[in-house]
Amino acid sequence: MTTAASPPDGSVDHDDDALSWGDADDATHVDAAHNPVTVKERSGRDPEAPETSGALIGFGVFGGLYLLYTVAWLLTASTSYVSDVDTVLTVFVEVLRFLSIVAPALWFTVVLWAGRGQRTRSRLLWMLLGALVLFPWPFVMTRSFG
Amino acid sequence: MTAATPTVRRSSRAFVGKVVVWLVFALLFAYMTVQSVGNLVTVSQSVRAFNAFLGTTSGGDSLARSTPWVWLVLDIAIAPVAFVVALWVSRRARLAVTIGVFVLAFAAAGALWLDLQLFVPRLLDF
Repeated sequence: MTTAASPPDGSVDHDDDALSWGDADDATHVDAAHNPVTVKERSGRDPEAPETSGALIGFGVFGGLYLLYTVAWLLTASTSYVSDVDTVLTVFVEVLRFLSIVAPALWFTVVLWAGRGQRTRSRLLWMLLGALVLFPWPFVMTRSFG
Repeated sequence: MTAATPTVRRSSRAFVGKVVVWLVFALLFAYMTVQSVGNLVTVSQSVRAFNAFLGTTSGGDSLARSTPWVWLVLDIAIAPVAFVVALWVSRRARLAVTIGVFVLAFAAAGALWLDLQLFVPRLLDF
């Protein structure tokens, strides 16, 4: 189909373009085809780049909190969760008991290791989620304070 | 043979490894879910039997308990949600990261599951 703006012989007529940026021989002429626009990558960060001091403080705070969680889960290690159950469930609960003790350290390590290329904010949000999920409720429930 | 063969073999081996991880943890999470369903059935039956017993006594109705449905359903939802989240987080990850993420998801789900095993009986306090 030939449009009204196209020359009859099918060749491209640059003067019919919507915008003309001047002569290609002009010293100030910039050809977009040879000067691609570079877009800054926002979704990731360089895994080799050093952490900012804010990120280090944030990770340090969560690291300390997770350490307290580990101690709390360790102190409730003797808590009885189920009774009169079969051997498989007993072993299953024992495995979960062990995993719940190491879970805070595991969460901290996995977020820092697997999220190396992620932005600091998203890693801190994962840390916050871990602080909520791994809160040692058995420690609070089995002990009376004051 | 082409030069790309070792790469293809390595990536297919990694995919098989990921499938094994998915299957192993699917079984573990399924077992957790089955136990949670068992808890729901047992607890709801116990509450019903307790309330029926109270109905046969004089003035015992004030001691009647209600089944903690919200907590029991949450107990069932923990494992499937943890599995789906682990699957989503590790969808483009290497095999080692996938294993780490699934172990962590199982540990976190386990911690929440143990919380509820302790919390729900305290709500009833027969």
